[in-house]
Amino acid sequence: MSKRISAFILSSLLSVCLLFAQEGTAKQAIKNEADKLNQPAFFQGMAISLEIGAPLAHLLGTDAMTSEAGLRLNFKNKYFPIAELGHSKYDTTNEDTQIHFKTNAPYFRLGMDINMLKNKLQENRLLAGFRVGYSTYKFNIDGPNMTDPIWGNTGPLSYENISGKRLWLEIVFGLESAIFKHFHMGFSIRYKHKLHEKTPSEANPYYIPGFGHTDNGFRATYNLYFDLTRKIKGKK
Amino acid sequence: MKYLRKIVICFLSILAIAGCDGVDCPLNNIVYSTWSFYGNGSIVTIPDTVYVYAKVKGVDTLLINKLYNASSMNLPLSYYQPADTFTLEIHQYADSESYEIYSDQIIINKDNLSHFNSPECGVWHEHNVTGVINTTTMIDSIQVIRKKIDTDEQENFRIHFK
Repeated sequence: MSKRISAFILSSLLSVCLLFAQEGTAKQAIKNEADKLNQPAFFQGMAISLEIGAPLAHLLGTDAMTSEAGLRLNFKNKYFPIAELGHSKYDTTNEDTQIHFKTNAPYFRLGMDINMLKNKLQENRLLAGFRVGYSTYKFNIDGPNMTDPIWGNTGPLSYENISGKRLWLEIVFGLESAIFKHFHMGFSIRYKHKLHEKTPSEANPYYIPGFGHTDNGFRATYNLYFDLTRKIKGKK
Repeated sequence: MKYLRKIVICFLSILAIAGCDGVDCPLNNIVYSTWSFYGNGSIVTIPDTVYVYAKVKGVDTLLINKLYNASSMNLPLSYYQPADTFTLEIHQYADSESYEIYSDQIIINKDNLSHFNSPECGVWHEHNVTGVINTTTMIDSIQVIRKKIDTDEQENFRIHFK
């Protein structure tokens, strides 16, 4: 008799436990489904970017003229792999020394930005990322003849088609905001650091396309982004 | 985050103004060779007056005038000549009015390399010493410490006096 009672109690307890488990599983399934609908889809689309900071600075008087565009992918509104391709021309003559420097070359960068904001469903982004850039270039230098002040000998100042290469890393921080549907604007501050270079011994490349002046340091960019395709939420 | 849009738009104007950058020229872009004076294996101070002349188009041109109580000196080198000739002259005073003159010639053979830095800073001329020849009136030998002569102002030569 006691054995039957124990079996009954045990089976009853087991049934109750199973009932709770099934209810918990059902609730979790509903929650998971709701979360999926509130998460960005895995592939959110792609965008074309145009850098306008450098052309604007050139209009205001700087010597560098740079055109740069990029293609950016969007994964979950969090990961943004990007490829940037540009061309830079630099042509300057110093008023005091009358030395003329000129270079003209393409460059490219590959990298990724990560959206640091918690709410990935909104259109604004706080970005942190990196780029690896590379440029191979040639430059020319010419100027007045140089005269030795003591010995009096004179020699030409002329370097033609001096070639060099540079590989560099950029650490990127930026803000991006949606202005209209499918159109964003954003700026970034980048710290650029030389990784590897090949330069001639007789002349420093005063300006390197894509990198800027030769020292490691900071630069800023201003980009326009045009979404080619766009999703925000998940399954619908 | 509506203010974020304003921040992004405002930065455009800041960026345009901040487009300027510049290059700092090194404080010293004149290249000098650095010479130390040695006697009996250790650095010495010459109590007498030192003069140095360079042979410029066959004529002695004064480079260093009345260097007194010196243990070292700096000499410029020519931009383009493959060899420079210097005369090192020491006036040894017996009393306040009379002195004896001792002199030696030094010939520096070198390769010359002009180095462009920037349009603002211009060009400086570096050298690589390939050989040193000297007479031996008062100089025992000249030791080449650093063949490269550039803007770093490091010791290049040691003159060992007898």
